[in-house]
Amino acid sequence: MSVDDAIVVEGLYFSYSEKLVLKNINLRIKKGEIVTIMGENGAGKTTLIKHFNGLLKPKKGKVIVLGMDTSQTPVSQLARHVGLVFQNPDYQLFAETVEEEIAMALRNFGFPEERIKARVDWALKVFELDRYRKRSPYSLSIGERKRLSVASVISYDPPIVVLDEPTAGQDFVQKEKIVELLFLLKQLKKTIVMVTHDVEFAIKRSDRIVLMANGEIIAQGTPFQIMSSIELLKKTRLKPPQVVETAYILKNRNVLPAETSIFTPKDLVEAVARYVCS
Amino acid sequence: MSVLEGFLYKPKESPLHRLDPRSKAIILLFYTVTSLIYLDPLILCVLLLSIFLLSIVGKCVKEWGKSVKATATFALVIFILNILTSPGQGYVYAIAMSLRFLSLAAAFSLYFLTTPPEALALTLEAAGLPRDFTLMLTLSLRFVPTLARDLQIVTDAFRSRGLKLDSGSYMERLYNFAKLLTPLIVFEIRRSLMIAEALESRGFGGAAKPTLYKPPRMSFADYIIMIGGLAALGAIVFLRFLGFPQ
Repeated sequence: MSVDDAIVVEGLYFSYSEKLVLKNINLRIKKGEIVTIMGENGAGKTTLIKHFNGLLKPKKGKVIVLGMDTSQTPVSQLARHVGLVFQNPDYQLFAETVEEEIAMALRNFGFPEERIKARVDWALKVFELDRYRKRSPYSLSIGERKRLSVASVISYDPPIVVLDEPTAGQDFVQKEKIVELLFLLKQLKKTIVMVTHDVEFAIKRSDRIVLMANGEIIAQGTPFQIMSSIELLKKTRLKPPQVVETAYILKNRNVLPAETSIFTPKDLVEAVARYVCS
Repeated sequence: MSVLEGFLYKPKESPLHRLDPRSKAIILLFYTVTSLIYLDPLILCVLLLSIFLLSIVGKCVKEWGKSVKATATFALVIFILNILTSPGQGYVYAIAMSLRFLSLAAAFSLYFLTTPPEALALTLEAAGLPRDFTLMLTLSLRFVPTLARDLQIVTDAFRSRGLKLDSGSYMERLYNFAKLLTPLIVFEIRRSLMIAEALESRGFGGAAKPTLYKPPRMSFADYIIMIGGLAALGAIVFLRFLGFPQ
Protein backbone atom coordinates (compact mmCIF):
# COMPACT_ATOMS: atom_id res chain seq x y z
CA MET A 1 0.00 0.00 0.00
CA SER A 2 1.43 3.38 -0.99
CA VAL A 3 0.78 6.71 0.75
CA ASP A 4 -1.39 7.75 -2.21
CA ASP A 5 -3.85 4.90 -1.64
CA ALA A 6 -7.11 5.62 0.18
CA ILE A 7 -8.63 2.14 -0.07
CA VAL A 8 -6.91 -1.12 -0.98
CA VAL A 9 -8.92 -4.33 -1.37
CA GLU A 10 -6.93 -7.54 -1.77
CA GLY A 11 -8.45 -10.94 -2.57
CA LEU A 12 -11.71 -10.12 -0.78
CA TYR A 13 -14.27 -12.88 -0.37
CA PHE A 14 -17.55 -12.43 1.50
CA SER A 15 -20.61 -14.60 2.02
CA TYR A 16 -23.99 -14.23 3.74
CA SER A 17 -24.38 -17.60 5.51
CA GLU A 18 -23.58 -19.99 2.63
CA LYS A 19 -24.11 -17.69 -0.36
CA LEU A 20 -20.88 -16.26 -1.77
CA VAL A 21 -21.56 -12.60 -2.53
CA LEU A 22 -18.06 -11.26 -3.23
CA LYS A 23 -15.41 -13.32 -5.01
CA ASN A 24 -11.76 -12.37 -5.17
CA ILE A 25 -12.23 -8.58 -5.28
CA ASN A 26 -9.03 -6.62 -5.94
CA LEU A 27 -9.35 -2.87 -6.05
CA ARG A 28 -7.12 0.12 -5.40
CA ILE A 29 -8.63 3.59 -4.94
CA LYS A 30 -6.29 6.57 -4.84
CA LYS A 31 -6.70 9.59 -2.58
CA GLY A 32 -8.78 12.30 -4.29
CA GLU A 33 -10.15 9.90 -6.89
CA ILE A 34 -13.87 9.63 -7.80
CA VAL A 35 -14.70 5.99 -8.40
CA THR A 36 -18.13 4.74 -9.42
CA ILE A 37 -19.15 1.14 -8.88
CA MET A 38 -21.81 -0.08 -11.28
CA GLY A 39 -23.55 -3.33 -12.04
CA GLU A 40 -26.93 -5.02 -12.00
CA ASN A 41 -28.95 -5.62 -8.81
CA GLY A 42 -27.40 -8.32 -6.64
CA ALA A 43 -23.92 -7.85 -8.17
CA GLY A 44 -22.45 -7.17 -4.71
CA LYS A 45 -21.95 -3.40 -4.95
CA THR A 46 -23.51 -2.43 -1.60
CA THR A 47 -21.87 -5.42 0.11
CA LEU A 48 -18.50 -4.19 -1.16
CA ILE A 49 -18.91 -0.60 0.07
CA LYS A 50 -20.03 -1.82 3.51
CA HIS A 51 -16.52 -3.26 3.83
CA PHE A 52 -14.99 0.21 3.50
CA ASN A 53 -16.14 1.36 6.96
CA GLY A 54 -15.97 -2.07 8.56
CA LEU A 55 -19.73 -2.76 8.79
CA LEU A 56 -18.88 -6.04 7.09
CA LYS A 57 -15.62 -7.86 7.71
CA PRO A 58 -13.91 -9.94 5.00
CA LYS A 59 -14.35 -13.73 5.19
CA LYS A 60 -11.07 -13.96 3.28
CA GLY A 61 -8.67 -11.29 2.03
CA LYS A 62 -8.03 -7.77 3.26
CA VAL A 63 -9.50 -4.29 3.13
CA ILE A 64 -7.09 -1.51 4.07
CA VAL A 65 -8.48 2.00 4.52
CA LEU A 66 -5.95 4.81 4.99
CA GLY A 67 -3.52 2.24 6.37
CA MET A 68 -6.06 0.67 8.76
CA ASP A 69 -6.99 -2.98 8.41
CA THR A 70 -10.82 -2.94 8.62
CA SER A 71 -10.98 -6.39 10.23
CA GLN A 72 -8.88 -5.07 13.15
CA THR A 73 -10.46 -1.62 13.49
CA PRO A 74 -13.87 -0.86 15.08
CA VAL A 75 -16.58 0.74 12.93
CA SER A 76 -16.74 3.78 15.22
CA GLN A 77 -13.07 4.51 14.45
CA LEU A 78 -13.32 3.81 10.71
CA ALA A 79 -16.53 5.85 10.42
CA ARG A 80 -14.55 8.99 11.34
CA HIS A 81 -12.52 8.51 8.13
CA VAL A 82 -15.16 6.97 5.88
CA GLY A 83 -18.54 8.70 5.63
CA LEU A 84 -21.12 6.27 4.28
CA VAL A 85 -24.40 7.72 2.98
CA PHE A 86 -27.12 5.10 2.71
CA GLN A 87 -29.50 4.83 -0.21
CA ASN A 88 -32.67 5.44 1.80
CA PRO A 89 -32.45 8.52 4.06
CA ASP A 90 -35.41 7.34 6.17
CA TYR A 91 -33.31 4.61 7.72
CA GLN A 92 -31.04 7.08 9.46
CA LEU A 93 -33.05 10.16 10.43
CA PHE A 94 -34.02 10.26 14.08
CA ALA A 95 -33.52 13.71 15.60
CA GLU A 96 -36.24 16.21 16.49
CA THR A 97 -34.77 18.93 14.31
CA VAL A 98 -32.72 19.10 11.13
CA GLU A 99 -29.80 20.80 12.89
CA GLU A 100 -29.75 18.13 15.61
CA GLU A 101 -29.67 15.47 12.90
CA ILE A 102 -26.51 16.98 11.43
CA ALA A 103 -24.96 17.46 14.89
CA MET A 104 -25.45 13.79 15.84
CA ALA A 105 -22.34 12.38 14.15
CA LEU A 106 -20.26 15.37 15.26
CA ARG A 107 -21.23 14.66 18.88
CA ASN A 108 -20.46 10.96 18.45
CA PHE A 109 -16.96 11.88 17.29
CA GLY A 110 -16.43 14.22 20.24
CA PHE A 111 -16.24 17.55 18.40
CA PRO A 112 -16.24 20.58 20.77
CA GLU A 113 -19.60 22.39 20.95
CA GLU A 114 -18.44 25.60 19.17
CA ARG A 115 -17.08 23.53 16.24
CA ILE A 116 -20.30 21.55 16.09
CA LYS A 117 -22.24 24.79 15.71
CA ALA A 118 -19.91 26.04 12.98
CA ARG A 119 -19.99 22.73 11.06
CA VAL A 120 -23.79 22.48 11.35
CA ASP A 121 -24.20 26.05 10.03
CA TRP A 122 -21.83 25.30 7.14
CA ALA A 123 -23.62 22.06 6.19
CA LEU A 124 -27.07 23.70 6.40
CA LYS A 125 -25.93 26.47 4.07
CA VAL A 126 -24.14 24.21 1.55
CA PHE A 127 -27.08 21.83 1.30
CA GLU A 128 -29.70 24.62 1.24
CA LEU A 129 -31.40 23.37 4.37
CA ASP A 130 -30.90 26.52 6.43
CA ARG A 131 -34.57 27.51 6.45
CA TYR A 132 -35.54 24.08 7.78
CA ARG A 133 -33.06 24.00 10.67
CA LYS A 134 -35.76 23.86 13.39
CA ARG A 135 -38.09 21.57 11.42
CA SER A 136 -38.47 17.83 11.99
CA PRO A 137 -36.44 15.81 9.44
CA TYR A 138 -39.57 13.76 8.73
CA SER A 139 -41.45 16.84 7.54
CA LEU A 140 -39.02 17.37 4.63
CA SER A 141 -39.58 16.15 1.08
CA ILE A 142 -37.72 13.04 -0.11
CA GLY A 143 -35.17 15.15 -2.01
CA GLU A 144 -34.54 17.30 1.07
CA ARG A 145 -34.27 14.24 3.32
CA LYS A 146 -31.69 12.81 0.93
CA ARG A 147 -29.71 16.08 1.08
CA LEU A 148 -29.96 16.01 4.86
CA SER A 149 -28.56 12.46 5.00
CA VAL A 150 -25.60 13.57 2.85
CA ALA A 151 -25.16 16.74 4.96
CA SER A 152 -25.09 14.76 8.19
CA VAL A 153 -22.11 12.80 6.87
CA ILE A 154 -20.19 15.55 5.05
CA SER A 155 -20.49 17.80 8.14
CA TYR A 156 -17.87 15.84 10.08
CA ASP A 157 -15.43 16.13 7.19
CA PRO A 158 -14.41 12.52 6.51
CA PRO A 159 -11.56 12.20 3.98
CA ILE A 160 -13.42 9.38 2.18
CA VAL A 161 -17.11 9.70 1.23
CA VAL A 162 -19.06 6.67 0.06
CA LEU A 163 -22.47 7.31 -1.51
CA ASP A 164 -24.96 4.51 -2.17
CA GLU A 165 -27.28 5.48 -5.03
CA PRO A 166 -27.02 9.25 -4.47
CA THR A 167 -29.37 10.09 -7.36
CA ALA A 168 -32.13 7.58 -6.55
CA GLY A 169 -35.48 9.37 -6.32
CA GLN A 170 -34.01 12.74 -7.30
CA ASP A 171 -35.34 14.97 -10.06
CA PHE A 172 -33.10 16.56 -12.68
CA VAL A 173 -32.43 19.74 -10.66
CA GLN A 174 -31.48 17.74 -7.56
CA LYS A 175 -29.21 15.52 -9.64
CA GLU A 176 -27.44 18.58 -10.93
CA LYS A 177 -27.02 19.75 -7.33
CA ILE A 178 -25.43 16.41 -6.42
CA VAL A 179 -23.08 16.81 -9.38
CA GLU A 180 -22.17 20.26 -8.00
CA LEU A 181 -21.64 18.72 -4.57
CA LEU A 182 -19.27 16.15 -6.03
CA PHE A 183 -17.39 18.98 -7.69
CA LEU A 184 -17.13 20.70 -4.31
CA LEU A 185 -15.94 17.50 -2.61
CA LYS A 186 -13.36 17.03 -5.35
CA GLN A 187 -12.11 20.57 -4.67
CA LEU A 188 -11.83 19.65 -1.00
CA LYS A 189 -9.58 16.71 -2.08
CA LYS A 190 -12.00 14.06 -0.85
CA THR A 191 -11.90 10.50 -2.10
CA ILE A 192 -15.35 9.59 -3.37
CA VAL A 193 -16.81 6.16 -4.01
CA MET A 194 -20.30 5.96 -5.48
CA VAL A 195 -22.68 3.15 -6.26
CA THR A 196 -25.19 4.03 -8.95
CA HIS A 197 -27.30 2.69 -11.81
CA ASP A 198 -27.41 6.15 -13.35
CA VAL A 199 -25.00 5.89 -16.31
CA GLU A 200 -25.29 9.53 -17.35
CA PHE A 201 -24.52 10.70 -13.83
CA ALA A 202 -21.57 8.29 -13.56
CA ILE A 203 -19.83 9.37 -16.73
CA LYS A 204 -20.16 13.08 -15.89
CA ARG A 205 -18.17 12.99 -12.67
CA SER A 206 -16.20 9.74 -12.38
CA ASP A 207 -12.47 9.39 -12.81
CA ARG A 208 -12.93 5.65 -13.01
CA ILE A 209 -15.84 3.22 -13.36
CA VAL A 210 -15.72 -0.26 -11.85
CA LEU A 211 -18.16 -2.80 -13.30
CA MET A 212 -19.37 -5.68 -11.15
CA ALA A 213 -21.34 -8.82 -12.01
CA ASN A 214 -22.07 -11.86 -9.85
CA GLY A 215 -19.84 -10.69 -7.02
CA GLU A 216 -16.81 -10.07 -9.21
CA ILE A 217 -15.16 -7.06 -10.80
CA ILE A 218 -15.42 -7.72 -14.51
CA ALA A 219 -13.92 -4.47 -15.80
CA GLN A 220 -12.63 -1.09 -14.72
CA GLY A 221 -11.41 1.95 -16.57
CA THR A 222 -12.13 5.54 -17.48
CA PRO A 223 -15.75 6.41 -18.40
CA PHE A 224 -14.61 6.52 -22.05
CA GLN A 225 -13.09 3.02 -21.89
CA ILE A 226 -16.16 1.53 -20.19
CA MET A 227 -18.75 3.31 -22.34
CA SER A 228 -16.91 2.30 -25.51
CA SER A 229 -17.79 -1.33 -24.94
CA ILE A 230 -21.49 -1.84 -25.54
CA GLU A 231 -20.97 -5.62 -24.97
CA LEU A 232 -19.58 -4.96 -21.51
CA LEU A 233 -22.53 -2.72 -20.64
CA LYS A 234 -24.98 -5.34 -21.88
CA LYS A 235 -23.27 -7.93 -19.69
CA THR A 236 -23.89 -5.75 -16.64
CA ARG A 237 -27.39 -4.79 -17.87
CA LEU A 238 -26.54 -1.11 -18.07
CA LYS A 239 -27.99 1.00 -20.80
CA PRO A 240 -25.61 3.59 -22.24
CA PRO A 241 -26.96 7.14 -22.67
CA GLN A 242 -28.58 7.73 -26.07
CA VAL A 243 -25.85 10.12 -27.12
CA VAL A 244 -23.16 7.48 -26.42
CA GLU A 245 -25.17 4.86 -28.32
CA THR A 246 -25.60 7.23 -31.30
CA ALA A 247 -21.86 7.97 -31.29
CA TYR A 248 -21.17 4.22 -31.21
CA ILE A 249 -23.28 3.71 -34.36
CA LEU A 250 -21.58 6.62 -36.13
CA LYS A 251 -18.14 5.27 -35.19
CA ASN A 252 -19.07 1.83 -36.57
CA ARG A 253 -20.03 3.51 -39.87
CA ASN A 254 -16.71 5.37 -39.90
CA VAL A 255 -18.50 8.71 -39.69
CA LEU A 256 -16.60 9.52 -36.49
CA PRO A 257 -13.06 8.46 -35.52
CA ALA A 258 -13.07 5.56 -33.02
CA GLU A 259 -11.03 7.40 -30.40
CA THR A 260 -13.44 10.37 -30.09
CA SER A 261 -14.74 10.81 -26.54
CA ILE A 262 -18.45 11.63 -26.69
CA PHE A 263 -20.59 11.85 -23.57
CA THR A 264 -22.78 14.90 -24.11
CA PRO A 265 -25.00 16.15 -26.96
CA LYS A 266 -22.53 19.06 -27.33
CA ASP A 267 -19.62 16.60 -27.88
CA LEU A 268 -21.66 14.79 -30.53
CA VAL A 269 -22.72 17.94 -32.37
CA GLU A 270 -19.11 19.22 -32.42
CA ALA A 271 -17.77 15.86 -33.69
CA VAL A 272 -20.41 15.68 -36.44
CA ALA A 273 -19.75 19.33 -37.37
CA ARG A 274 -16.04 18.53 -37.72
CA TYR A 275 -16.91 15.58 -39.96
CA VAL A 276 -19.22 17.68 -42.13
CA CYS A 277 -16.65 20.46 -42.48
CA SER A 278 -13.88 18.02 -43.40
CA MET B 1 -33.44 -12.06 15.70
CA SER B 2 -32.63 -15.80 15.66
CA VAL B 3 -35.39 -16.26 18.23
CA LEU B 4 -37.91 -14.94 15.68
CA GLU B 5 -36.49 -17.05 12.85
CA GLY B 6 -37.53 -20.15 14.76
CA PHE B 7 -41.16 -19.02 14.59
CA LEU B 8 -41.30 -18.41 10.84
CA TYR B 9 -42.69 -20.84 8.31
CA LYS B 10 -40.09 -22.87 6.39
CA PRO B 11 -41.59 -24.59 3.33
CA LYS B 12 -40.61 -28.27 3.31
CA GLU B 13 -42.07 -31.59 2.18
CA SER B 14 -42.96 -33.41 5.40
CA PRO B 15 -45.96 -35.14 7.00
CA LEU B 16 -46.25 -32.26 9.51
CA HIS B 17 -46.25 -29.66 6.75
CA ARG B 18 -49.03 -31.56 4.92
CA LEU B 19 -51.37 -31.56 7.93
CA ASP B 20 -54.24 -29.08 8.11
CA PRO B 21 -53.60 -26.13 10.48
CA ARG B 22 -56.70 -27.18 12.52
CA SER B 23 -55.47 -30.69 13.31
CA LYS B 24 -52.04 -29.28 14.17
CA ALA B 25 -53.80 -26.73 16.39
CA ILE B 26 -55.29 -29.62 18.40
CA ILE B 27 -51.78 -31.06 18.94
CA LEU B 28 -50.62 -27.59 19.95
CA LEU B 29 -53.54 -27.29 22.35
CA PHE B 30 -52.59 -30.65 23.87
CA TYR B 31 -49.01 -29.47 24.49
CA THR B 32 -50.14 -26.09 25.81
CA VAL B 33 -52.66 -27.52 28.27
CA THR B 34 -50.30 -30.29 29.44
CA SER B 35 -47.45 -27.79 29.99
CA LEU B 36 -49.76 -25.53 31.97
CA ILE B 37 -51.47 -28.08 34.18
CA TYR B 38 -48.39 -30.13 35.08
CA LEU B 39 -45.38 -28.79 36.94
CA ASP B 40 -43.39 -32.01 37.06
CA PRO B 41 -39.91 -31.64 35.49
CA LEU B 42 -40.03 -35.25 34.31
CA ILE B 43 -43.34 -34.83 32.46
CA LEU B 44 -42.17 -31.54 30.98
CA CYS B 45 -38.92 -33.20 29.84
CA VAL B 46 -40.95 -35.96 28.15
CA LEU B 47 -43.05 -33.26 26.46
CA LEU B 48 -39.93 -31.47 25.21
CA LEU B 49 -38.46 -34.75 23.96
CA SER B 50 -41.66 -35.59 22.09
CA ILE B 51 -41.69 -32.12 20.45
CA PHE B 52 -38.08 -32.74 19.44
CA LEU B 53 -39.14 -36.05 17.82
CA LEU B 54 -41.95 -34.23 16.02
CA SER B 55 -39.44 -31.67 14.72
CA ILE B 56 -37.54 -34.61 13.16
CA VAL B 57 -40.79 -35.70 11.48
CA GLY B 58 -41.27 -32.09 10.32
CA LYS B 59 -37.68 -31.96 8.95
CA CYS B 60 -36.98 -28.72 10.79
CA VAL B 61 -34.71 -29.76 13.67
CA LYS B 62 -32.15 -27.07 12.78
CA GLU B 63 -34.62 -24.15 12.78
CA TRP B 64 -36.50 -25.51 15.78
CA GLY B 65 -33.20 -25.95 17.64
CA LYS B 66 -32.41 -22.27 16.97
CA SER B 67 -35.62 -21.09 18.63
CA VAL B 68 -35.15 -23.46 21.60
CA LYS B 69 -31.56 -22.26 22.01
CA ALA B 70 -32.68 -18.62 21.89
CA THR B 71 -35.60 -19.12 24.33
CA ALA B 72 -33.29 -21.05 26.68
CA THR B 73 -31.81 -17.66 27.69
CA PHE B 74 -35.27 -16.47 28.78
CA ALA B 75 -35.81 -19.81 30.56
CA LEU B 76 -32.62 -19.18 32.50
CA VAL B 77 -33.92 -15.74 33.52
CA ILE B 78 -37.17 -17.38 34.69
CA PHE B 79 -35.13 -19.88 36.70
CA ILE B 80 -33.08 -17.16 38.41
CA LEU B 81 -36.16 -14.98 39.10
CA ASN B 82 -37.96 -17.95 40.66
CA ILE B 83 -34.99 -18.76 42.87
CA LEU B 84 -34.74 -15.12 43.96
CA THR B 85 -38.45 -14.38 44.44
CA SER B 86 -39.68 -17.74 45.82
CA PRO B 87 -36.73 -19.25 47.71
CA GLY B 88 -39.11 -21.44 49.72
CA GLN B 89 -40.28 -23.33 46.61
CA GLY B 90 -36.86 -24.87 45.95
CA TYR B 91 -34.85 -25.65 42.83
CA VAL B 92 -37.25 -28.27 41.43
CA TYR B 93 -40.03 -25.69 41.18
CA ALA B 94 -37.72 -23.18 39.44
CA ILE B 95 -36.53 -25.87 36.99
CA ALA B 96 -40.14 -26.88 36.26
CA MET B 97 -41.15 -23.26 35.59
CA SER B 98 -38.26 -22.87 33.13
CA LEU B 99 -39.12 -26.18 31.45
CA ARG B 100 -42.77 -25.09 31.18
CA PHE B 101 -41.72 -21.94 29.33
CA LEU B 102 -39.34 -23.91 27.10
CA SER B 103 -41.90 -26.56 26.13
CA LEU B 104 -44.54 -23.91 25.37
CA ALA B 105 -42.07 -21.97 23.18
CA ALA B 106 -40.89 -25.22 21.53
CA ALA B 107 -44.45 -26.30 20.68
CA PHE B 108 -45.44 -22.92 19.24
CA SER B 109 -42.17 -22.72 17.29
CA LEU B 110 -42.84 -26.12 15.67
CA TYR B 111 -46.41 -25.09 14.82
CA PHE B 112 -45.36 -21.87 13.09
CA LEU B 113 -42.36 -23.53 11.38
CA THR B 114 -44.65 -26.06 9.68
CA THR B 115 -47.77 -23.93 9.05
CA PRO B 116 -47.84 -21.28 6.30
CA PRO B 117 -49.35 -18.00 7.62
CA GLU B 118 -51.74 -17.90 4.63
CA ALA B 119 -53.10 -21.39 5.46
CA LEU B 120 -53.53 -20.35 9.07
CA ALA B 121 -55.36 -17.19 8.02
CA LEU B 122 -57.62 -19.09 5.61
CA THR B 123 -58.48 -21.59 8.30
CA LEU B 124 -59.32 -18.85 10.78
CA GLU B 125 -61.35 -17.08 8.11
CA ALA B 126 -63.22 -20.30 7.33
CA ALA B 127 -63.89 -20.59 11.07
CA GLY B 128 -65.69 -17.24 10.91
CA LEU B 129 -63.05 -14.78 12.10
CA PRO B 130 -63.14 -11.33 10.42
CA ARG B 131 -60.81 -10.93 7.44
CA ASP B 132 -59.15 -7.85 8.96
CA PHE B 133 -58.05 -9.93 11.90
CA THR B 134 -56.65 -12.79 9.80
CA LEU B 135 -54.83 -10.34 7.52
CA MET B 136 -53.30 -8.69 10.58
CA LEU B 137 -52.04 -12.08 11.74
CA THR B 138 -50.61 -13.00 8.31
CA LEU B 139 -48.88 -9.65 7.89
CA SER B 140 -47.40 -9.65 11.37
CA LEU B 141 -45.85 -13.06 10.74
CA ARG B 142 -44.75 -12.30 7.22
CA PHE B 143 -43.06 -9.01 8.09
CA VAL B 144 -40.80 -10.37 10.81
CA PRO B 145 -37.90 -10.95 8.35
CA THR B 146 -38.52 -7.51 6.82
CA LEU B 147 -38.41 -5.92 10.26
CA ALA B 148 -35.18 -7.79 11.04
CA ARG B 149 -33.67 -6.50 7.78
CA ASP B 150 -34.81 -2.93 8.47
CA LEU B 151 -33.33 -3.06 11.96
CA GLN B 152 -30.01 -4.21 10.47
CA ILE B 153 -29.99 -1.33 7.94
CA VAL B 154 -30.85 1.25 10.63
CA THR B 155 -28.13 -0.16 12.89
CA ASP B 156 -25.60 0.01 10.04
CA ALA B 157 -26.61 3.59 9.19
CA PHE B 158 -26.14 4.73 12.79
CA ARG B 159 -22.86 2.86 13.32
CA SER B 160 -21.63 4.54 10.13
CA ARG B 161 -22.17 7.89 11.83
CA GLY B 162 -20.09 6.86 14.81
CA LEU B 163 -22.81 5.62 17.18
CA LYS B 164 -21.26 3.09 19.53
CA LEU B 165 -23.48 0.05 19.97
CA ASP B 166 -20.86 -2.53 20.88
CA SER B 167 -18.78 -0.62 23.42
CA GLY B 168 -19.34 1.62 26.44
CA SER B 169 -21.32 0.98 29.62
CA TYR B 170 -24.65 -0.91 29.57
CA MET B 171 -26.57 2.32 30.17
CA GLU B 172 -24.77 4.04 27.27
CA ARG B 173 -25.50 1.13 24.95
CA LEU B 174 -29.13 1.02 26.02
CA TYR B 175 -29.45 4.76 25.38
CA ASN B 176 -27.82 4.37 21.95
CA PHE B 177 -30.05 1.42 21.04
CA ALA B 178 -33.10 3.53 21.92
CA LYS B 179 -32.04 5.99 19.19
CA LEU B 180 -32.59 3.25 16.58
CA LEU B 181 -36.26 3.03 17.50
CA THR B 182 -37.31 6.40 16.02
CA PRO B 183 -36.36 5.71 12.38
CA LEU B 184 -37.47 2.10 12.69
CA ILE B 185 -40.95 2.98 13.97
CA VAL B 186 -41.40 5.85 11.49
CA PHE B 187 -40.28 3.63 8.62
CA GLU B 188 -42.57 0.77 9.61
CA ILE B 189 -45.57 3.11 10.01
CA ARG B 190 -44.88 4.51 6.54
CA ARG B 191 -44.56 0.98 5.16
CA SER B 192 -47.82 -0.12 6.77
CA LEU B 193 -49.63 2.91 5.30
CA MET B 194 -48.26 2.03 1.86
CA ILE B 195 -49.39 -1.58 2.26
CA ALA B 196 -52.85 -0.44 3.38
CA GLU B 197 -53.16 1.78 0.28
CA ALA B 198 -51.93 -1.02 -1.99
CA LEU B 199 -54.41 -3.46 -0.46
CA GLU B 200 -57.32 -1.04 -0.82
CA SER B 201 -56.30 -0.30 -4.42
CA ARG B 202 -56.64 -4.02 -5.12
CA GLY B 203 -60.11 -4.27 -3.69
CA PHE B 204 -59.46 -5.32 -0.10
CA GLY B 205 -62.37 -4.47 2.17
CA GLY B 206 -64.88 -4.31 -0.70
CA ALA B 207 -68.53 -5.25 -0.31
CA ALA B 208 -68.24 -8.54 -2.23
CA LYS B 209 -67.58 -11.71 -0.23
CA PRO B 210 -64.09 -12.87 -1.24
CA THR B 211 -63.75 -16.32 -2.78
CA LEU B 212 -60.95 -18.65 -1.66
CA TYR B 213 -58.24 -19.77 -4.08
CA LYS B 214 -57.54 -22.91 -2.07
CA PRO B 215 -60.36 -23.69 0.38
CA PRO B 216 -58.91 -25.51 3.42
CA ARG B 217 -59.70 -29.25 3.34
CA MET B 218 -59.20 -31.85 6.06
CA SER B 219 -57.75 -35.22 5.04
CA PHE B 220 -58.41 -38.59 6.67
CA ALA B 221 -55.10 -38.29 8.59
CA ASP B 222 -56.22 -34.87 9.88
CA TYR B 223 -59.44 -36.34 11.30
CA ILE B 224 -57.51 -39.21 12.96
CA ILE B 225 -55.04 -36.76 14.52
CA MET B 226 -57.83 -34.46 15.67
CA ILE B 227 -59.75 -37.29 17.34
CA GLY B 228 -56.55 -38.78 18.82
CA GLY B 229 -55.38 -35.36 20.01
CA LEU B 230 -58.71 -34.52 21.65
CA ALA B 231 -58.81 -37.94 23.32
CA ALA B 232 -55.26 -37.50 24.66
CA LEU B 233 -56.15 -34.00 25.86
CA GLY B 234 -59.26 -35.28 27.64
CA ALA B 235 -57.25 -38.10 29.23
CA ILE B 236 -54.50 -35.79 30.46
CA VAL B 237 -57.00 -33.32 31.99
CA PHE B 238 -58.89 -36.23 33.58
CA LEU B 239 -55.70 -37.68 35.09
CA ARG B 240 -54.81 -34.28 36.49
CA PHE B 241 -58.31 -34.00 37.93
CA LEU B 242 -57.75 -37.38 39.63
CA GLY B 243 -54.53 -35.97 41.06
CA PHE B 244 -52.12 -38.10 39.03
CA PRO B 245 -49.18 -37.79 39.15
CA GLN B 246 -48.54 -36.05 42.46
